[in-house]
Amino acid sequence: MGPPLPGERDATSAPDLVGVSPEGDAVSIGVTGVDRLTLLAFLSSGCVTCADFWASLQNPVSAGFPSDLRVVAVTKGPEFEIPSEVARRAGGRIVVVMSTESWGDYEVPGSPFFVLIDGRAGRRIGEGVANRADQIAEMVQRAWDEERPPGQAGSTSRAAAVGLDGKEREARNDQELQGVGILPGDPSLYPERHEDLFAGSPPPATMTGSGPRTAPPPGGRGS
Amino acid sequence: MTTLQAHGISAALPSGFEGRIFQRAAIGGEVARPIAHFATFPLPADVADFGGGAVNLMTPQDIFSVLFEYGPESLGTALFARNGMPRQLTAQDFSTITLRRGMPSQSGTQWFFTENGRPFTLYVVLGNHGLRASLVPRVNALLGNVDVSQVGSTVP
Repeated sequence: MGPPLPGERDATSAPDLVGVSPEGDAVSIGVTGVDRLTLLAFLSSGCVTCADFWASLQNPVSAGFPSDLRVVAVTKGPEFEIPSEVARRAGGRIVVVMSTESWGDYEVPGSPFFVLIDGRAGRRIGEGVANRADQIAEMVQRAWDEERPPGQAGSTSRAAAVGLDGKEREARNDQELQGVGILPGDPSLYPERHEDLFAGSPPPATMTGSGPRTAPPPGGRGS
Repeated sequence: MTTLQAHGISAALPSGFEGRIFQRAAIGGEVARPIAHFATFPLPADVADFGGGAVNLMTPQDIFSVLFEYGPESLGTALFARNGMPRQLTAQDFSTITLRRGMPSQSGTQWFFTENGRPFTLYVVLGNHGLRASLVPRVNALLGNVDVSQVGSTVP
């Protein structure tokens, strides 16, 4: 039996990270007490499998991660890593903490290793190994869906969870509207009455038949 | 509570805060001085000295703070006459025009002081001026945990 764990530790504990950046800055990253998910990518500059992750994490959204997920790479400290090599891998775009202590805190068995933390709950909600970034993206997505279903108070929408928010979401909405013939300026986008929603398109099934029509006569907009 | 320490500056960070203490590489004949950034939101990999590239990422509930050291030539000047860093700010200390980079709804405060023989400026930005009553106590919780030692002004 190994040494006992500190009293405050458990399998889901998520201590904040403290270490140095590849440039030598003292760095602390808060992963709990915050309203976001954080993915910790425990990587090394030398492992072959890690190389793909260093590349993929340059642009997490393109790699399939939710747009509001924070990704932090964690390497061992300068006593085990060459900072300039880590800096080269990070490329100035990935936030990196070099901290051997954090590898111990999270009981990392080897690199690459990933830990997903729910900052609001203050705990780990997923961890594991993978060979490709899309496998980790899938793990994140699954955990996100389980932890924060759409409609949950304070949660982010599923659209945001899959990276569809802001401009991306708007672009997708436009694409879907154009696909059914609704172009910019279409009156149905600016309804004053219920009937306006169906201007320029056949009325829905519930409005067909021989009974009285509530739609305005052609050429008019009703009173 | 994690403690961040470098260049004679240390900070026990309250929950929800993160930070970075660094000294930029000197360019030409300039002498780089220590800078500390503290924030309640994810700090990008590269943030300008006074928050450029970071304050635009703040939500209304966020706080960004800078502790920026000046050179020993500033010691004894009127600007740095205040003895000690302010650690109990009030909501009235913040103004929407005290911003290095004017962002809508944000407000800031800036103080120049000398502590332990080292001249500094403290610059704090609130994500939304309307929330200052709830944000300033969080700022004070941070400032109360920041220490500046005598070493560091000329020590890398």
